Amino acid sequence: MAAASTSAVDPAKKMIMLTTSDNIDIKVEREVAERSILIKNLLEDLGSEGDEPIPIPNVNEAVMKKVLEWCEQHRKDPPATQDDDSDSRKKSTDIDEWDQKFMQVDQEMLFEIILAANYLDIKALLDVGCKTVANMIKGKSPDEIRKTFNIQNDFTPEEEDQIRRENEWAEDR
Amino acid sequence: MASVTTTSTTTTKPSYSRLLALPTELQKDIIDLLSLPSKLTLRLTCHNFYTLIPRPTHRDLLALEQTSWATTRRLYTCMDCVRLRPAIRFADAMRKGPKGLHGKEPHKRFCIDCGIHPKPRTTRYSPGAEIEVSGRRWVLCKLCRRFVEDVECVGSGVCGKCHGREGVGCVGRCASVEEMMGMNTAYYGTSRAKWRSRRYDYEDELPECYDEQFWECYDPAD
Repeated sequence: MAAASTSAVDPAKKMIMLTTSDNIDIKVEREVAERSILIKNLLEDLGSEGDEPIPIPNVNEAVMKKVLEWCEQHRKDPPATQDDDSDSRKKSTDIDEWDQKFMQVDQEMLFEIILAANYLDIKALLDVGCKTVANMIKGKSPDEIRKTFNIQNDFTPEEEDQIRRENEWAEDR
Repeated sequence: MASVTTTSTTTTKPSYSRLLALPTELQKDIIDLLSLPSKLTLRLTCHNFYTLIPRPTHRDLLALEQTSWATTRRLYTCMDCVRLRPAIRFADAMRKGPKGLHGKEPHKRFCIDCGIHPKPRTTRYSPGAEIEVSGRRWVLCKLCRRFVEDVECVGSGVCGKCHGREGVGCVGRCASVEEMMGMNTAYYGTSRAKWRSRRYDYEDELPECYDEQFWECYDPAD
């Protein structure tokens, strides 16, 4: 990482240590790690030293690396404001190009990233993950959705009957 | 760094649904990002999403029927069963004019099934109603109460079978087609006036039995 060449005085560039669920230590710049509100709050609570490795018991190394890759890319993004929570951000499923490429992973990893972003409290990454899943659902028939996400059709015959009556529009699919 | 075994890239299809395994809150976040048609489709995949995604309201459906998704499928909303139904399930009069997609009161549109079997305490099609469906005239026979595409004498309100029965319909009156048409227009003309005057007299009881739709479906030009 580029951290070696920068001065050690800048607290944002200071390296901290994260310990993943599979007991691997990952060194990362504080500013990058602080994209995670969970880690940010932990660091604040622990004081400015940050020499102790921070345990992240819910995320394994592979996922953590992927998440940190995203944090590195978005390290300079302005923090999300409260108003952002409402309309503009929520409704659109547009994803910027870098994020789209970043999310081209298999489903297992995609959902691991979503869970990690949720746990680490990285709102913007969680959004990208949810949007990616939403885009995978869009424009598909119920059967295609089931296949994509390995969903079992678990309706009882009675429910099936009711659904057929309620949703005639889906019959031609 | 060398020990990075990418467990992730090996499996492409998990053995269980990762989507269903997500916490409900996250599932809801994803659902919030979907358009209504996608939501409704996801709703049909399994019990979990069927219960998690609420059934669309009448208002939802009225908005949805305006979208290209619905218009390309020729879907319309019924106010009584609150469903999107294909065009053939509606009388022609329900798909144009005031109850049409761009009419003033699409929220008052109901499908043929709900018209013939109305909910308790509501009046839709009354016996004798003749309605056009895809350009063809159907009748809810006032005698046998069947809904059939068999109108021998337009405006008689009875099906062909009952029409042929002795002492029923307009036997002896509809001698020729021209005469019949004239007679029916006149018949409806006077009857309409009669209804109006009666409506005035018995204002509070008439809404129960007066079928406004009947007149909208009746087209003297036919």
